[in-house]
Amino acid sequence: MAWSSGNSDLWNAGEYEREGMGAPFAKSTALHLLIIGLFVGYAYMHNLFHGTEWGSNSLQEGSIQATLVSSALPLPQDHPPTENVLATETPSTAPALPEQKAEPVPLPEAIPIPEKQAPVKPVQKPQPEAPPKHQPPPPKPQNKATYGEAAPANVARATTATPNANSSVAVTGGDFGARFGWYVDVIKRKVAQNWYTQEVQPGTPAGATVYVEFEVARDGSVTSARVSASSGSPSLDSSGLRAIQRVDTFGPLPGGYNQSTLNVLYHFTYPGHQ
Amino acid sequence: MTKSRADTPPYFRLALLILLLLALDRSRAIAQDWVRTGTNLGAQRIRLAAAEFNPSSADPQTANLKTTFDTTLFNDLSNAGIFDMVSRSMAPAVMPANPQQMNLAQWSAAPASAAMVAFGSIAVTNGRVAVYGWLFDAKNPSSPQILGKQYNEDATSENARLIAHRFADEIITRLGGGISGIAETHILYVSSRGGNKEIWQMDYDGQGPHAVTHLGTISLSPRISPDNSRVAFASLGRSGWEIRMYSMVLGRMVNFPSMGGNTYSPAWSGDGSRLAFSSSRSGDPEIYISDANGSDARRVTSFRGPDVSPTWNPKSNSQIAWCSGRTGLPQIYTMDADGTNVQRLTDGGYATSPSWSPNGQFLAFAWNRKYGPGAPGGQDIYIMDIASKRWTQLTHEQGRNDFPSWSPDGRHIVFQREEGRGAEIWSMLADGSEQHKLTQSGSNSMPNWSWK
Repeated sequence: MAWSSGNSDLWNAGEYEREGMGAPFAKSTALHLLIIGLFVGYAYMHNLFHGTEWGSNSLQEGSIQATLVSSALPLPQDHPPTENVLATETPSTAPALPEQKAEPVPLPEAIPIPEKQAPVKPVQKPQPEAPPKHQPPPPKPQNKATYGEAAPANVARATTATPNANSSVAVTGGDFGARFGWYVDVIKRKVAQNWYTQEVQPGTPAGATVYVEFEVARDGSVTSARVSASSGSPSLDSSGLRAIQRVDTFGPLPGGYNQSTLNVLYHFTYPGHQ
Repeated sequence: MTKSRADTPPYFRLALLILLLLALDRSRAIAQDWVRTGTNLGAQRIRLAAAEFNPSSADPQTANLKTTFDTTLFNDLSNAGIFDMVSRSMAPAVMPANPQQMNLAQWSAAPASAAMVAFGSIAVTNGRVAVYGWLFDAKNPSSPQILGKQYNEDATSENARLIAHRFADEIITRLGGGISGIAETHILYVSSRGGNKEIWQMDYDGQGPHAVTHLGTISLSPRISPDNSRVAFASLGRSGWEIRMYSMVLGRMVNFPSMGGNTYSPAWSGDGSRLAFSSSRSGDPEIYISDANGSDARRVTSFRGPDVSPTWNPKSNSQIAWCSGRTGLPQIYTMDADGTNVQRLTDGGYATSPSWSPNGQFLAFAWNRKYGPGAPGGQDIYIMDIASKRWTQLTHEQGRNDFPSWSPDGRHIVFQREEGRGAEIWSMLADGSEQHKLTQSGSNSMPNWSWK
């Protein structure tokens, strides 16, 4: 390196002359002595001036407070002590104890009546419940076949008041399948036509079912199709999803249906390799 | 406030949250209905009964119009390809004229076993025919009505057929899942009935044929524009083949520039804004694309050998299938509309006249797979799934079949079949079933199904 070689050259040249150390050493010593002297002088002066404050009436440290000792000494009092009713040295006499009632002496032939003992109820202390740390696990699905067919739950979910004030409230809504069964058939048929079972892997067991969820818009177009419950076979899942996606439109929703969209849950059950 | 909230026990807050979620869920349930349905074995056709309409006027014309109407409606519905029609002989004896007279139990019971019933009344008063038609769901007695329609036209036989077509199309649109019926569509074709080969037009079922052009020369390959306003076709003029244009609106020929050389096989794009055709002005026939009025023609193919018969992908309007002879015998190819991404679809034989299906998925074409003298098989109609290149043969051992053309609903194909003496126009479902002969006399060829 250039700098190291230059340095060594300088060292070797010996061009630095030794400077005299006497004058700076004397200056340094004088400065130290001056500082020590200042300390000592300050301490002396401080003690000197502080001494004048001794015994002054201020509350500063160093002052002396005189405290009367008369209250602490048991000196003879020049006036009688106040009879304090609240704290007196001579307590009033306690009220007499109630007279002991004499127990009636039972007759020698009397039979003691058994007393009914009320059952002692264990006192339950309300125990503060600890807040659950985790959400309770969802109940496990029962893999049991439920036999029989329940009646379709046809619960009215929306109410509309009829203009005729005398009639009762008419209830509509929530019964798309009952009112527009033909449209449900259209959906079912059209998706079924677009479902190509050739796309499913032949190894898929017959009866495997995938549930696909989608929305039908007012104009009949399909939006937001997704697998709701997988069949376990990816090829069956995708074939069902593709069947939905192949459908351009189901035709406009029925005129009597007043909602904007229709949710559909569609299931594809693989009939087996043919 | 915060203090009191902090004082509420945690389980109480949890219960509150659950209640809130339930309320939200319930409001969602009100907003939209849920339908749960599914399939495992495909779908059956809808069993539909078309009742004879009830004549509700004493006018002598009524009987004739009623017969025409009933026949047309029944044929339209059975031609649609999505219904299992209830035979007339199985229908109940009483024909309802209106919903009050409708007894759905009669129709849904055997032997009719109808799932749907179309019925109504027809009346002629003061030279006007009035038709009331309903479509009822026989399986849903509580709210059976699907459709109720009313038509009023001048009392002619054509109008009776027109009303029947319209009512059938309404039914097909509802029950066919939003795809319009084809009962009101037309078929253009080339006919030599009048001596010369002229462009003719008929209804989709073969009724009402009439000549469109009267040029006195040879006209071929008519193609109607997507808005049904113009027909482009190739015609033999003084300087060879050129593309001519006929306006259906004006009822006369309109100007279309001559390109020079032989120009033929026009094809409209799905949006009607462009025209693809084949022109030999540079020697070989090559594919060109121009505006709808013939200007700004650009060449998109440059291969040795002829390139003819372009057809657009009507769904995307960005792809063209055509027929190319670069390897000797003609084969079907596809490319993007700018000439890139050329792919060969057929692997041999003699493949011509492609037609792209309305949903863009299939290509129909004529194919002689074992071409040559003494080779087995003949020229038949095939469809090919473009994505997978898997094909299906639709016609079998019945004449020479050529020039397929898709119907706008994608369920039918019209084509030319040559058996013995002359060629005739046939139609069939896109799976090859239900083949019907549409023309009976003369030589008729090169059909093109109108767009709507």
